[in-house]
Amino acid sequence: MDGQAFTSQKFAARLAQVTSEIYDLAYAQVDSSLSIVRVSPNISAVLDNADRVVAGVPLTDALNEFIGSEKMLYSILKNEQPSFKLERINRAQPDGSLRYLTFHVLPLDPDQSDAGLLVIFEDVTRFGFFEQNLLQKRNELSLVRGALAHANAELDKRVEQRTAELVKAKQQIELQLFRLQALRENDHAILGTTDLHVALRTIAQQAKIQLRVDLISILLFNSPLLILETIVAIGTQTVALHTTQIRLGETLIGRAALERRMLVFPDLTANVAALPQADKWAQIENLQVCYSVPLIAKGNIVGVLFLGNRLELQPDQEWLDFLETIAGQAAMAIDSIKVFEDLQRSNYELALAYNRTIEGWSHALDLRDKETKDHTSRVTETTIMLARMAGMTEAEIMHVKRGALLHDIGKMGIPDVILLKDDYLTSEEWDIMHKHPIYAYEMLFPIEYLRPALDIPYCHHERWDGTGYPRGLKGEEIPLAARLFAVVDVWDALCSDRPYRKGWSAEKVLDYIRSQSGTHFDPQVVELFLNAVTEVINNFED
Amino acid sequence: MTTIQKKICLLGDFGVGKTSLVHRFVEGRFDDKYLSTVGVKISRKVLKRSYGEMNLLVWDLAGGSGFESASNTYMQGGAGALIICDLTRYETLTACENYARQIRILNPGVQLVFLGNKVDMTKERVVSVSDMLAALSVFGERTFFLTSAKTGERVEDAFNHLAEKIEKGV
Ligand SMILES: Nc1nc2c(ncn2[C@@H]2O[C@H](COP(=O)(O)OP(=O)(O)O)[C@@H](O)[C@H]2O)c(=O)[nH]1
Ligand SMILES: [Mg+2]
Repeated sequence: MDGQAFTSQKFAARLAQVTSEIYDLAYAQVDSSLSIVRVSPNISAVLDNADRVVAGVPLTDALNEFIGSEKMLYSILKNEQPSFKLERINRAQPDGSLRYLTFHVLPLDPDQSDAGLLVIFEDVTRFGFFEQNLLQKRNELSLVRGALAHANAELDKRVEQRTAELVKAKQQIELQLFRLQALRENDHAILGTTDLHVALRTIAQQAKIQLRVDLISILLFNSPLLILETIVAIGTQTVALHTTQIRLGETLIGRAALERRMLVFPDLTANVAALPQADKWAQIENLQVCYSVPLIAKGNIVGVLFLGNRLELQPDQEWLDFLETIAGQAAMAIDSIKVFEDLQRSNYELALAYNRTIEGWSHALDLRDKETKDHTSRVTETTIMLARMAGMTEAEIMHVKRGALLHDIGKMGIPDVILLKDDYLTSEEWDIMHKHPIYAYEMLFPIEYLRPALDIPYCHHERWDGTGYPRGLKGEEIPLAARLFAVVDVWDALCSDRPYRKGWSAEKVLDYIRSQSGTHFDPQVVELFLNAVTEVINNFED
Repeated sequence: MTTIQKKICLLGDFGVGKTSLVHRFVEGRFDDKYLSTVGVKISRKVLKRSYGEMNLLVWDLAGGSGFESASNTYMQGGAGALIICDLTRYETLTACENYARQIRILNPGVQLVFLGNKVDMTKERVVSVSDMLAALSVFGERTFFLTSAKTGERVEDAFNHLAEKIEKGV
C-alpha cells in the first residue's frame, strides 16, 4: 500500500485517535445552536457522565460547567474570541475518587463564523494531584505560621500584662514601705518630744506628703469651752481657718467631733451657697474635698484631723487605712503628751506649794530669831551661787536652797529665854543651844521631801578640823552643802551690823575667812569663795 | 413549572471554609480535615421557589492569597457570589474587598452576600461585628451572615438570601 492511498482525511482521524489515547483527550463537536453533534468514541474514558454527552443534547445540559458561560461560547462561535478554557474542574468519580479535567473550547472553523465549536476534554488528574499536594503543604504551612504569629502575639500580650502587674505591685509595695516609714517617723516624733506642737506638726507634715492633699490641720478639743482650736495647719493660703471659731457639733469639723465618725464632703464647690457661715473659710481656701476625722483617745474626743484638697480626690482603701492610722497616731500623741503635761503641771504646782511653805517657815524663824533683815535670803542666794560654781546639779541645788532657807529650823526647839537672851549664855545654855542641829534633824527627817535638804540644817556647825557640833564630823565627812554654807553663814554674819558691834569691813572678813581655812573651813571651799568673792560683793551691793 | 439556572461563586482566601460551606449546603455534612482545593468544583443544588425551581450551580473556587489564585474565567457569568471571611483570621476580612471588587468588574450586575464563617470558634474569634460592618460599607452593604459550616448555623439562610437577591436583581 503506498502513501497516496492513505488519504489526509484518514491520517487526520488516525492522528486524532492516537493523540487522544496518549494524552487522555476526548472531544465533542457542537453546532451553532450549542447542541452536541458528535463525540469521540473514547469519551467515556474521560467523562464519568458520558452517557449524557451524546449527539442532540444541548451542551449546557450535558455539562453544567458551561451554564453561565453561554455568552462566551457564542463569542467564540462568532470568532470574536479565539478560545476559552476551564481548567482543573474537580469531578468526583462514582468510586469517590477525584478527577481533574480541563475543558478547551475552540471554533470549529477559525475562518468562518457559526461553523460550530470543538470542545476538547483533557484529563489532567496527574498534574492536579501533584499541584494539590504542593498547594496543600503550602497552605497548611501558611495556616500554621499564622496561628503561630497569633499565639506569639497572645504571649507577648500576656508578658506585657504580667510585667505591668508586677510594676504596679512593686509601686504599691514601695508606697506601703514609704508610708510605714512615715508612721515610724511619727512614732519617733511622739516618743521623742514632750512638745505637742512639735509632735503634731511632724504628723501633719507626714500626712500631707503621704496622702497628697493640699491642706492638713489638727485641732484640739477644748472641753471646758466646747470648741476646737487649731494647733497645726499646713497648706493654708489664708488665716481664715485660724480666725474661725469652731464649736463642737457645728461645721465640717465640729460635727465629726460630736458624731464621732469620719465625715467626707466630696464636693464642696457643688453647693457653695448652702455652706454655713462657719464653714466659709473652706470656700475661702478654695477647698473642693474635705475629710474630717475625729481624734479619739481612751474613748474621749481629743481633737479632729482635717484634710482638704483643692481638686478632686480618688482615695483607695489603702489611702483610707493610712488616714485612719495617722488619726490614731495624732490622738495618741495628744493624749500622751497631755498626760505628761498634766503630770508636770501638778508636780510643778506641788513643788511651788512646798517652796512657799518652806519660805513661810523660814520667814517665821527670822522673825523669832530677830536675825538681821534678809539674812536668810542673802545666805541662801549666795550658797546657791557657790553650789553652782562647785558643779552641783540643779536638782541638788533645789535641796541646797531648801536646806539654806531652813538652816536654823532647829532653833524652834530652843526656848525663848535662851534664844532671845541679851546676856552671855551659860555653858548649860550653850549645850542646849548646840542641840539645834539635832532638833533640825529630828524635825525634818520624817518629812520625806525635805530629807535630802537636811545637810545644811544638820551639819552647818561642823568644822573642817572636827571640832564642830553636833557630831564632830571631820573633813569630807561633812556634806559639801554644809561646808559651803558654813563659809557663807560666817561671812554674812561678820559683814552685818549687830546690836553689840558694827559690821566688819569686807577686807577684814575675807582675811578672817582665809585665816580659818583648814581649821574651821574646807580649804577648797575657801578658795572657791575667795575666787567668787568679787562677784558676791557685786551681787551684794546690788 | 419554571426552572431557572444560576451560577454562583464562593470567594475568599484559602481555608476560610468555602468547600466546607458547599458541603454543608449541598450534602449536609462537615469534615474537619482540610483539603485545599485546586481549580474549581461545581455542585448543583435545586432550590424550591414559589414559581418553581431554581437550579443553583455552586462554584467552589480555589481561594486566593498568593498560592491559589481565583482566575477570571471561573467568575465569568456568575449571577451571585458569597464573599467569605474566616472570623478567626483578620487578614481574610481585608481580602474580601478584593474579591468583591474583582467579580463586580467582570459581572457588573452580580449580587453579593458577605459571610463571616467559623462563628462556632468563639475563643479564637478576632473579627468583630463592627469590623465586618466597616468592611461591608465599602460596597454599600449592611447585611452579612455569621455562619458555621461545622454546625450549619445560618448556612442555608445565606445561600437563600443570595438566591433571593438574584431573583429580585437588586
Ligand atoms: N470550626 C469550624 N471549622 C471550619 C468551618 N468551616 C471550615 N472549617 C475548617 O476550616 C478548614 C478549611 O476549610 P475549607 O472548607 O477547606 O476552606 P476553603 O479553603 O475556603 O475551601 C477545614 O479544616 C475545615 O474543617 C466552620 O464553620 N467551623
Ligand atoms: Mg476549598
